[in-house]
Amino acid sequence: MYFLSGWPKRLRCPLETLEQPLHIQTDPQRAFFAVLAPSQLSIWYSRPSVLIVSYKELSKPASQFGPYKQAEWRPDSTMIAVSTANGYILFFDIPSSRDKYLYEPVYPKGSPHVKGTPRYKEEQCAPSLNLEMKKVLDLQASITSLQSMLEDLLVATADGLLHLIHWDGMTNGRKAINLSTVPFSVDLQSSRAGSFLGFEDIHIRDMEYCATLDGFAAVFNDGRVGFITPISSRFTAEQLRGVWAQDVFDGTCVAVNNKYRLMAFGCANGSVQVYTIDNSTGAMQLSHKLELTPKQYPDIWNKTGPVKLMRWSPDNCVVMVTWECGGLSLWSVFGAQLICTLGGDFAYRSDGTKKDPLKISSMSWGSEGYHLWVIDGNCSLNAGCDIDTKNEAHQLGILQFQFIKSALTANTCMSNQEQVLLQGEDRLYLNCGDAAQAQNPRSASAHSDHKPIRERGPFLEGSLDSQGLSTLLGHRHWHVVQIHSTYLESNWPIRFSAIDKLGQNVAVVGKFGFAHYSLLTKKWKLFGNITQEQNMIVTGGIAWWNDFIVLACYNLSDRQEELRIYLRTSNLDNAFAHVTKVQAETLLLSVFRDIVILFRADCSICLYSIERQPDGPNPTASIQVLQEVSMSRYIPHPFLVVSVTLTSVRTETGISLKMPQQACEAESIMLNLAGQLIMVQRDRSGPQIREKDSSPNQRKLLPFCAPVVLAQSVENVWTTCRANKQKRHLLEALWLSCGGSGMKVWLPLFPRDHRKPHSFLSRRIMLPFHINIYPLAVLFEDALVLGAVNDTVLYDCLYTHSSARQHLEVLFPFCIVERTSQIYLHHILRQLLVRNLGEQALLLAHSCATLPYFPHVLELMLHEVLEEEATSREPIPDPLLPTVAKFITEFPLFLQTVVHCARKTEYALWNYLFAAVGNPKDLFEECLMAQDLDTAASYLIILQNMEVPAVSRQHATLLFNTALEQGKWDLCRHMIRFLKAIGSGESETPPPTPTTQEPSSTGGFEFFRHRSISLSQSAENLPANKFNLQKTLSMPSGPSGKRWSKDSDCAENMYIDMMLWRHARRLLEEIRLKDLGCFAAQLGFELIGWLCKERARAARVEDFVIALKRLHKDFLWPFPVIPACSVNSPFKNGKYKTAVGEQLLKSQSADSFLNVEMDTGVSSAPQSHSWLSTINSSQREMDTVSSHGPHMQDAFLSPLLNKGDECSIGSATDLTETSSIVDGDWTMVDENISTLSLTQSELEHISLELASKGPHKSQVQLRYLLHIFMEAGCLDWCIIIGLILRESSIINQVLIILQSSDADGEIWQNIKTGLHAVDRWASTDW
Amino acid sequence: MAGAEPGRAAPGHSRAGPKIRERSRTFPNGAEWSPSLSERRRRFPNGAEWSPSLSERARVAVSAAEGPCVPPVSERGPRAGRAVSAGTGLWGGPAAGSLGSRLGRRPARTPGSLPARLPAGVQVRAAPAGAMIEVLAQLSRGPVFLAGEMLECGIVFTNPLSATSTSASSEMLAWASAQIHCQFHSSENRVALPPSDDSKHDVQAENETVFVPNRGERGQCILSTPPKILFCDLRLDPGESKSYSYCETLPVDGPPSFRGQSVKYVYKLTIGCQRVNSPIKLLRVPFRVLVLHGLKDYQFPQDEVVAPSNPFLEEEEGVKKDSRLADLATELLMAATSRRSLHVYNISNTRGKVGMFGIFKTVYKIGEDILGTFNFSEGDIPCLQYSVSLQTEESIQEEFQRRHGQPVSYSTHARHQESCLHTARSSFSLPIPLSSTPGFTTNIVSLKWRLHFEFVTSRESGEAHTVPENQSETITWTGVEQIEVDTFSWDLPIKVLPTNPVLASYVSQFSSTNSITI
Repeated sequence: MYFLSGWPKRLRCPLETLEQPLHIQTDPQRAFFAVLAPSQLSIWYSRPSVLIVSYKELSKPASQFGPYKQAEWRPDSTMIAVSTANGYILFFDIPSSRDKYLYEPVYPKGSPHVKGTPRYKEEQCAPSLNLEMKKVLDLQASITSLQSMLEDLLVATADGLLHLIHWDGMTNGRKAINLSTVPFSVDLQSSRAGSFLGFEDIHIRDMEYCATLDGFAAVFNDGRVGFITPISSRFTAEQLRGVWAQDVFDGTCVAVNNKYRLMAFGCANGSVQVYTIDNSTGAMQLSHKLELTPKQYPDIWNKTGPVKLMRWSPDNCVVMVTWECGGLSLWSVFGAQLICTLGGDFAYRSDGTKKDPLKISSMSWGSEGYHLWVIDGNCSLNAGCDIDTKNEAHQLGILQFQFIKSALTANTCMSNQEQVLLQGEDRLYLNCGDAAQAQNPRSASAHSDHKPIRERGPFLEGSLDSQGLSTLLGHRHWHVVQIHSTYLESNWPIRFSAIDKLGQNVAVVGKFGFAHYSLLTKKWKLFGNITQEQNMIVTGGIAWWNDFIVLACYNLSDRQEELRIYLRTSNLDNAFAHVTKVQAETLLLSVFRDIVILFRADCSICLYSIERQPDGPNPTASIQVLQEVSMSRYIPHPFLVVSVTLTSVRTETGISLKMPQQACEAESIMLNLAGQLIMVQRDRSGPQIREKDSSPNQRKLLPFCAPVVLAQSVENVWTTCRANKQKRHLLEALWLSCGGSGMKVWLPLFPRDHRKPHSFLSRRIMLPFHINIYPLAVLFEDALVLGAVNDTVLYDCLYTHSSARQHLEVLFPFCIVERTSQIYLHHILRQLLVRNLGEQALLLAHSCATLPYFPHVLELMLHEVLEEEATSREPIPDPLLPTVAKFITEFPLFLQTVVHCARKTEYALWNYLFAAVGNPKDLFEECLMAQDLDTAASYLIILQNMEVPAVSRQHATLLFNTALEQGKWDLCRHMIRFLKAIGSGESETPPPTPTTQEPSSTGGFEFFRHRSISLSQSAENLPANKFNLQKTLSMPSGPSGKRWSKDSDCAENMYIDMMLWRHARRLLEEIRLKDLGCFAAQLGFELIGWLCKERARAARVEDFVIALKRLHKDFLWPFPVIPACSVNSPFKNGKYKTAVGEQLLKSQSADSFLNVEMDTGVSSAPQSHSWLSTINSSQREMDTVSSHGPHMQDAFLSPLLNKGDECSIGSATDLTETSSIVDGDWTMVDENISTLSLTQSELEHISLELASKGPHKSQVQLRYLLHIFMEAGCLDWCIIIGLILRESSIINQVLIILQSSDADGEIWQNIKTGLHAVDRWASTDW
Repeated sequence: MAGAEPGRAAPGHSRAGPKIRERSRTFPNGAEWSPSLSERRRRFPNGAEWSPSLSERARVAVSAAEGPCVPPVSERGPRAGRAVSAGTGLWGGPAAGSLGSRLGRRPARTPGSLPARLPAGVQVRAAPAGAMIEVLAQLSRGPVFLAGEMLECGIVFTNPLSATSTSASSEMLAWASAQIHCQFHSSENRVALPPSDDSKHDVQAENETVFVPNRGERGQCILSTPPKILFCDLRLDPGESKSYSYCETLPVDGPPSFRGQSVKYVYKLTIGCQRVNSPIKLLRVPFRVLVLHGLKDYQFPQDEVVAPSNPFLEEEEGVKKDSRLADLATELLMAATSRRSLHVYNISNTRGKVGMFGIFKTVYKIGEDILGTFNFSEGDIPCLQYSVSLQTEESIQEEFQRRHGQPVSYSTHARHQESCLHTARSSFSLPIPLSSTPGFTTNIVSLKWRLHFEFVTSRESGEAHTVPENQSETITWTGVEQIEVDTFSWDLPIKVLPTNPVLASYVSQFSSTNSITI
């Protein structure tokens, strides 16, 4: 498809003249442009865009002829006819002086720029032409239309005559046909009874000849439109018949599309009606309309004025339309709108002011449609008044708009590809990620065997798919490949381009020869021998087959049509090519698996098999004719065939089910004949060749059945030759793009099991669906359509001073092409449901359930059906919503889908929705049951609006508690807000409780609005919010803590606080300190204050041993490791003891203070003697338990604990073998005193550190908790943490506090008994 | 059985897929080495005697590599050394193709032949009959990173289940270790390097059993991260596969990946592994590094401010940090490149004014298009043709130049040429290739970007030919056949910055999956 690119280019005339151009007409080859000014005829060259010759009429004859009006080229470009206002036709000869070129640069001697290339002048300079007026013809009536028709010039004059003037003889062949003598009717069948025009003064306002319809479309001065065709070959009044279009009465202009046999009539109301001719009756049939929609162009859609001009692109794929008020709009052949410059950045400046639309007085497409030459009507108006500078006078009103087009427009064999490839004048645009995608396993194999090309492991499906997708869709970047300038300079314009299956290689075809490029090596390959390049003209397109380039060409030196195959990896030379002669010119070429399909100018299709020759140094491919099928019976004109391809699609899917291997075979030919999709299927009705003795060749020789028309108005067709059992629906379907009416899919239907399909079930179904983008590629497995869309960037704000007003960058936005993609699955599913094919829909949906956007698909479907049915004015007899709801329940995402959908629709529709899907209360409970809290939270909002407050409060509480339990902190925060909001809302204005039946109460609605917004906003702004929370809540005693208490007078807050307290208490009672820490931190729960209150209750440690164990586990803190005790290996123990002993001494001395303190603390307390029996032992105890810190005195007692640990964990193993014991040895080495352990390398240090210490984070957290407990006076907890951290200082500190403060004896006692228990456990439990 | 049944091999690989299900038991948090140290300790309590069983010999190399970039303790016997040096030669064998060795130059893909039969990424090569382990490394995010980012590589070891094999047996890998290194290579003709200190040679000379990631590579290893051990003693039953995840932060101050005419900087992740009784094999994963200068200074300035004082809040911080670096970089790049302002240049030569050139910004990201506009309507000198080339200028710092005043080398990345004789206003857009290296400077080389303009102008001033209003005869004006011309050029320096690495991954020439069979 066509996309506008960049800014237009403005030309300037080297001649100083005050006459502004008013008409532009390109020659049939689109190399020259004739530009008319009132008394001036100029000829421009297309590339480079320079003025070749200009003819200025003398003033006297000029006044006699009147100003020039229109120009028409003779088909061979040797003559121009110019009509003037006073009814004259001036014939100009264009003698070209061969081998003379203009504007050849002459470089100074010695300049490195002297061009050595022999063809330089031909390529870079404009040919020299002259203009000689040959003849003047006076038709004596003003000329309304000038049309070249074969060897004649057809001129319509205002007196109702049609003049037929022969180009050669001019006067000799002059004939005039009076329109009033031509019979007109509604179709050709009843032409005998046709009436005549009946008015004397009727004449043709505009007309255009259509070669493929053999007649001309005409607009009459009264606004009627019609088609005039000769009954026989002779073009005389008696032989002419006319057909009316019955419902057009305001026609203004006409443009004919030869390839698609369409006649576009511009109308005074601004719309374009596109007609075709019914083949059987000859009547005019409306195909479609081109209209601006009020939705997209609210301020212009009916203010455009009449259609002024329409121009079909050279390849007939798009039509450019302009109106009296100006503006350009581009439409695909069957009416998909691509560009309109009446809205958006084209119409408004960046400051919001409206621009004058570009008024176009004439336009013409350049070669291959890369340029549109436009005569700027504004310019001619301005020229008179804007006389401020002489430079402005130079400003010629010719603009060149530049276009990028899809490779599909010219090379239709590209439609089997999954890449988007756009071609510009000098560059290619590929959807990026192709290279990466190719390296993915997903699209690996390029081999031609019948293995699926995409080979994926079954479990890779989901993850890789999405990965591949993200490369395809993740960004809108194009991979731009500039076409090699050497090739481009001699072969401009690029006519075809093709990309290989993996998206790694591209090939381009210009005027002569071709060139290809590898995206991996980033290198171009051109013909080494330029003569070879210049001797071939590629005719039918170009395609990749694995590593080979397949193309059909005309060999200029041998003067024959050929089919050639080049290997990518070898040099580009005919020596490495495989060449086959072809009988007639190839018009189209495509490749299906290892079959090459040619469509030739003799209307026959020829199938070749292509085979790779055994690998030599330069592998080649050979080609063999398989089958030739003449289609001339069905094809009126070979030019009408848009595309031809082989597919595996067939109508009887039953067969493919039984024999799945056949699903990939070349089953039918798809032929796009002027938009009519025709399927020619292999005839299997005849005697079947048995599988065994069917050699590949025999199989292919099956004859074809008669063609069947599948669809009309088809622009592109996509099929794949891959097979995938999981996604048969998508892969065996046929995808069609149908212009303005969107896309269609011809979906196969499979019986659920392998039993015989129901007889009433047709095996394929055509489903239309709408998409918002122009499709350029179909990703079959991914259920995606890729496309591209024009986007604009404004640069006008950068030009501030007023003289820049005429700058193109100010007048126009910069145009870029963006990649887009769209999912369509919901449309198809819905269509299937509508047609009572729920089973098929389910099969299809299940095959796609792994797609990352599948939930979105379901949601979209539900949403669309809901919106449609709930807002329908009339009751729907057979609503679809229940079916859709039932369908969605088949998927685990049901709950989510429903609630997401609900939240995106208006409240007013909820009742309708939930009537179909079920009671929201039940759904909420289901969510809770499924532990899907986020979804449950979403339902809460619905409940809040549909139920009485008490109910929603009750549910909210339920959810809040669950969320607390699961540590879903974000949700908890939302729930707190929600609960408070309910509270405040209630207490102030009790909301009118919306009854579940009637959504009529607006009060409730408003209320809901308010709520939902606040809540959803908070959900959206989550990151920021959380940030704040983190900031404020990080200090439990900070402002957030106060907030809670400040508001606590509110009953609602009280209620929340109660719940929080309850939860905290539970956590503490269950010794889930880590959870408690998270809980407090995340929710800003004021821990210290609460702990103070709970000091004697929940915050008491009941069982020290369990607490100790639990904390070790929660914080991933290893139990202290121990030196192997003497029992196990006395030798070892002894050996290391000494080393540690030294260490011990040292650190002990350093910490003498501590020991003393502890001693006092301990002694003052009524401690048990067994524990305190010796200082030594107590020390050891302390140390083992809190060994980690910098002090390592503790090695001695720890074996007990460690043993206990092992037993309790139940991982008792052979002691000599367990590594932990051995590691234990090394724990004793203090990392700070590494000098002591010289014999032990760094490695041991690391292991020591890691083995005895938990993660750093845990340490920090434990210390934090310690601090909290200390603040709150929960000393028993402090002791436990101290034990875990193995820091005697902590214990000391606690003891000091115990001692100094008047701590109540109960705590004291508790600690004491607790420690006893620990001691007991440590000493016994091993 | 070797190399047979690639189709069967595929599922084995894919099981690991892009997601690493099983993390290394030895790397509980993806980085630190912990529990299996104990095993080692058990065996050589203080480096004392040990029985040189083969498996344990291998383990020695592991323990050696474990220290931060430290040459190993190793070298327990002559046999071990012998084995590895043999392996060096062996290494160039069938596996070399996939290694993308040689300064990351990709071997020419032999299209159609090999990958045709196999899903890409799972490339099985001929291995000695009866024994093979496939190693597949995948950079899950793609092969492009920003300096300072965390590189994460999933590495899958598979013992392919082969149906033809009758003696399906478990396979043992002694160890595997991974390391990132940056190779520097310079052209002899252009760069004169000071005599190298030969540090790497020392390492290699001492012990060849050792995992030397840049073994067999050209150039110097200028940067390497500490090696990390993935495992020791991995046993794989037939059809079994194990996945490991290697994470490493890329040095923030390294050079960017660059392949110039004088100098190359190539980054690679090298995974070394050794089968029992076999030489070390290296799997190389080349990747691309983009450097955003100044990112280091910006790195989390708000970190300190926001750092939660409550330790219970920092749960996901670690995960976030990495993406934040990319986000920060994207933000900085956005700020640097999104501002537009019109710069207008008058183009004139000695004969007069040719026209005006306008450009909307001078700082770009790779992957962006450079837009420029020309206005010839106000020029006095007709311009026949102009061309704009997007070029990089690679210059060796003076002290390293081979010859004094040697010319800088230019390479052209995009070019636009247009005939503009009768053009009033025109514009161009040049894509900056995503695969190109943004401008940078190291102590050896500097890379600068510029737009290089060439104009072909007429020698005669462009007096417009006037057509008299009341001429006496018809006038046919034809263009001249030849125009005497001058050519002149102009350079406009621009800045080119990196872009989001994920975006750059899409067109990287590196594959994100690499594999060998050992």
